[in-house]
Amino acid sequence: MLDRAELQGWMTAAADGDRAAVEPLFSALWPVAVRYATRLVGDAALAEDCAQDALVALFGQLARFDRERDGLSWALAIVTWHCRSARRRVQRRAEISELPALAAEEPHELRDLVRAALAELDQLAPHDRDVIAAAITGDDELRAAVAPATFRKRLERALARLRTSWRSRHGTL
Amino acid sequence: MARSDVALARARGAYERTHVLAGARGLAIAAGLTALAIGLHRTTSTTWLVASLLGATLATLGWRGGAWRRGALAGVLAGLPVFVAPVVVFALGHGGHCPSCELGPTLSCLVTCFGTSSLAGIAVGRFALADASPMRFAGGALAAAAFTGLLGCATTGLGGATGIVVGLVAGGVTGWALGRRTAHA
Repeated sequence: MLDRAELQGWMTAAADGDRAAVEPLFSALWPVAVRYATRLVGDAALAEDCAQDALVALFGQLARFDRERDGLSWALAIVTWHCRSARRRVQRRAEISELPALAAEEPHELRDLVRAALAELDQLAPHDRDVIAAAITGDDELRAAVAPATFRKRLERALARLRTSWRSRHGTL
Repeated sequence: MARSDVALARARGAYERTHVLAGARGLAIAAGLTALAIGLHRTTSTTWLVASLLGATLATLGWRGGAWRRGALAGVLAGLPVFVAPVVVFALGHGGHCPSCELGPTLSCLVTCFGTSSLAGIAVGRFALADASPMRFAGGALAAAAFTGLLGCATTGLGGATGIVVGLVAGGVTGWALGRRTAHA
């Protein structure tokens, strides 16, 4: 059974630079994070990946931990974020693997172009990919999360970066 | 190696990396202040000694993290007026030049260094009480403020250095006492 007060104490101590609190804090958080991530993503291996990434991120930002906030909620919020990102990644990968099959009947050149574009998209930072994917698929979740003008600006910047990256590798069409 | 061990090693690595980066940031701040000191003040062997001590202090406190790190940053900010004040005073009083008072500091040296340090000390004492770990915060802040101030005032001789240390300690104790009284009132 997880003792929240004890966890809060370890988190506060680790945030204050107490190295001895790192291991007990991790030991307390790891099983909770894995269980929670499993519930969110379903797949056990992916859940462990998410829990690991989330805890690495958490320990990297521990200095910014606000002791007035609940440590467990903060940790689970980070796990949630990583699970969402992982789910999106998996979804995108599935879309990408489907695309060449759909384009099988297209001329050879077009298929190569689609593959090159997808590879270029994969080189972008995750936040840029998310914005472009949201614009193409009409993902309302991301659009609703930010103001329309902000979304437009982010999309503009992501497309500009995609264009620059494309030009640097393939030149202009 | 179990999955949780791998995750623990990576989490510990991320934790330490943040602390090492904070230490490096402390060193960079010390280097910036030293460059500023070279531009603003007379450079003596004391300048290099104080600069090394400031670098070591900021790097260690930054790496240590928590209240020590917060205190060190507050200390640098509190020490900045002490660092700059002699230049301003001398610019007004000695035609833009620092007097050569290494052996016999002028009264304006002492008063400027002591006055600004006392005010910085009072601010540190009061702010320390608002922190979750006041003693650590005050310790880090006083050390960082002292070395930051010394980088400016130590170039004016022993009198300036004494003015800083005495001013910071006296101001710190006064600020602490005033803060406690306000909290209890």
